[in-house]
Amino acid sequence: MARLPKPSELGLDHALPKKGWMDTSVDFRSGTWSHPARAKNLEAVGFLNGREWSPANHDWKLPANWKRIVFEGIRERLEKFRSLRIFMDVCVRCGACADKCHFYLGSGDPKNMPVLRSELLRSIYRGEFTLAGKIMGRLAGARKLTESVVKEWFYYFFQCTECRRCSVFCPFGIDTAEITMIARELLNLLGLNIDWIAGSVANCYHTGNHLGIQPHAFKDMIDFFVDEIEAVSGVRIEPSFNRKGAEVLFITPSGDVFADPGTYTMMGYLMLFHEIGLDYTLSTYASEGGNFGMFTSHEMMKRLNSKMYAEARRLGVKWMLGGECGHMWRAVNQYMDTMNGPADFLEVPKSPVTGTVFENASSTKMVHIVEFTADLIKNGKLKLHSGRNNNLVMTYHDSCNTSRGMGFFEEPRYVIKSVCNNFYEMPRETIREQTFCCGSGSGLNNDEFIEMRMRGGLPRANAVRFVQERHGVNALSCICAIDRSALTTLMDYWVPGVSVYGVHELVGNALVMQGETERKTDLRGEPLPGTEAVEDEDI
Amino acid sequence: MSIENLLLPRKKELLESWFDLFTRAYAPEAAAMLKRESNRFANPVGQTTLSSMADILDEFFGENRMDEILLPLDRIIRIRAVQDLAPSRALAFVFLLKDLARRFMDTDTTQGKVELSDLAEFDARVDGLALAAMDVYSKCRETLHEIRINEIKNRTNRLLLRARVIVEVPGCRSESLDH
Ligand code: SF4
Ligand code: SF4
Repeated sequence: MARLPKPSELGLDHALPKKGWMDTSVDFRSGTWSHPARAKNLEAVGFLNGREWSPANHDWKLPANWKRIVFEGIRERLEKFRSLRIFMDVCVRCGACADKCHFYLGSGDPKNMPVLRSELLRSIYRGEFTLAGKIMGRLAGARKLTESVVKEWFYYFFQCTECRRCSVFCPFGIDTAEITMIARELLNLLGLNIDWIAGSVANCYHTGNHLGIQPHAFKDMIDFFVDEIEAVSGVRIEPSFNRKGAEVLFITPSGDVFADPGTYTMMGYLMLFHEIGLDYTLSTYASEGGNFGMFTSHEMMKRLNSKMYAEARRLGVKWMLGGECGHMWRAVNQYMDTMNGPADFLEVPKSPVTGTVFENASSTKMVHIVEFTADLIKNGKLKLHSGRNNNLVMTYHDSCNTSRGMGFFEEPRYVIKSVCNNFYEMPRETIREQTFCCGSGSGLNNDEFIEMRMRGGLPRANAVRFVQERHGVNALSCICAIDRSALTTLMDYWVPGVSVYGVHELVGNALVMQGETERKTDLRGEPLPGTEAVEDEDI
Repeated sequence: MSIENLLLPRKKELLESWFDLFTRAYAPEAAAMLKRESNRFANPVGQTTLSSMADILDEFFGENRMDEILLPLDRIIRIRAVQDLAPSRALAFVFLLKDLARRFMDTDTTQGKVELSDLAEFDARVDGLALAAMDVYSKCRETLHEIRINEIKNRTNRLLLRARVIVEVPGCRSESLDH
């Protein structure tokens, strides 16, 4: 029987001689993985090799020809994506990316260093696809594909949020996020996905949104918001659904419709649209802005995304407006046009209120709501009483996708500062293009693997705590639906006392609407700060 | 002479050794990073731990006030509690203080400056710290369970309300709106 270890032995584990990373396999203990995809969810969209299995079991029931599937999968992708071939060949292992990943910073697990994460795939590429690797083996950083490698992939590629922070620091611009995307595609070919993603994809494909909420319930939720808005402001608004001939189709992540605190952001959008008299409609068919297909395969992302243009065409709108979301905007901004365009049946978006033409969206025909609102404010079209948000000492989290995927930095800050009087930035090395991920992106925002999310979110939370201590920050704003939910949890663990807000919730609070009664509470039903008069202040 | 008094002039050295031992629980690459990077935002685990250990030692060699020690202890343990470690491993760093103290007092002990009773007293203080660490650890784990449940609730609460699976106490919300 093993003797009890001394504290010094428990503390010094890693000082003992260790095996190299290629020989260290993953120990799947309970609570250290996301639930595997259920067969029915994979089958629902035609993915192959769905089965019931568990990472805890030795036998993952891989299909008999699994090696061939992976080899062919890699070969096909090397041909299709020139970037992948480059990423596989050019890394010089300089280590500049090594300590830039939030998962590495939070866990200290070397395989969470971006360079090593991509080496998990690259070593197989070398060992199985390059001559040097085949001859020199380990000397060339090459190894052979085994079941243990596949298990390691599952473990570590579902511990990367595809946030791209590492790529900002790589002298060659190697994007580990794209390597993760390819690796997840390969895993998906073997039926090895996680259910949080597979379930959302299946629901989205069949019902229109991640939760599988049917059209009548979707409408019902919006009606619920209409009542709440009336209770707060006295103004009754009338959104329309699936209305043909509207000028604008508005699409937002379903988290805004169903999950707190995103729901308050949804109310903010609706209030704004009403106030400016926007001719818009909501779709119960394209009722999901998010696209978890992106975390399974490029093809699935395309299939889910195609609903946006299809619905815009069916309804005959002129252009599209998109809500506050992270990965939705990665899909829209980076891929939609190539995947499902050209959207030549739509017009270049033009604000009906200010006349501004959004040239930057001239090919996708979809405008970001924050950009749209910033333009309204810049042109003095909104009456805002920022004092209503005076109870909030605000900071802002740049979502990975909008910042590194779109370079979208100024507009959110402009809008926030127009509706909040107290605003403080987090330290420079933790915002804008260097922003730290929430730790829950790319389909990893499930509750079963919450420990990983908490350690991955530590660098972000650490920066929030800094501004909390220095400036008394008590509110964190963001423009991403996953953030609204995940950061709430993150704050509760690391920085209690900080609440999370979508930017349009703040807009909704500050917006002075025609015919409104005196507001006593904010959209959350909390009493408004002070009793300042509303008249013409901060216009 | 009490051990605290003997160690006090060498507090900085003690802190460095304690932190060094702490980092050795991580893989060599990670240990090097934890020690090298001095920017607190680029190295949250290393810098949070180092500064919290300093706070703990200050208090430990000072008045040893519970409240003042709990905060820095919480800072370190909150991290350890989500690093995929068994509780024993997560908290081992506290006990290392005993080994360290003995190593630092090697000559003092042999010169007879330290009595057995001094050692026992010092060990008891470390044990007190360790017990507090256990409380903090279990609190962190409790929080983890709570936030997990809250998140699930937030995700679907609205739907359940709407489907009238949950019924709020009548009048509650409108009351808060009316006054
Ligand atoms: S993309 Fe983000 S999560 Fe993935 S390895 Fe790079 S820094 Fe880490
Ligand atoms: S920074 Fe780029 S080249 Fe250097 S190790 Fe990382 S991925 Fe490779």
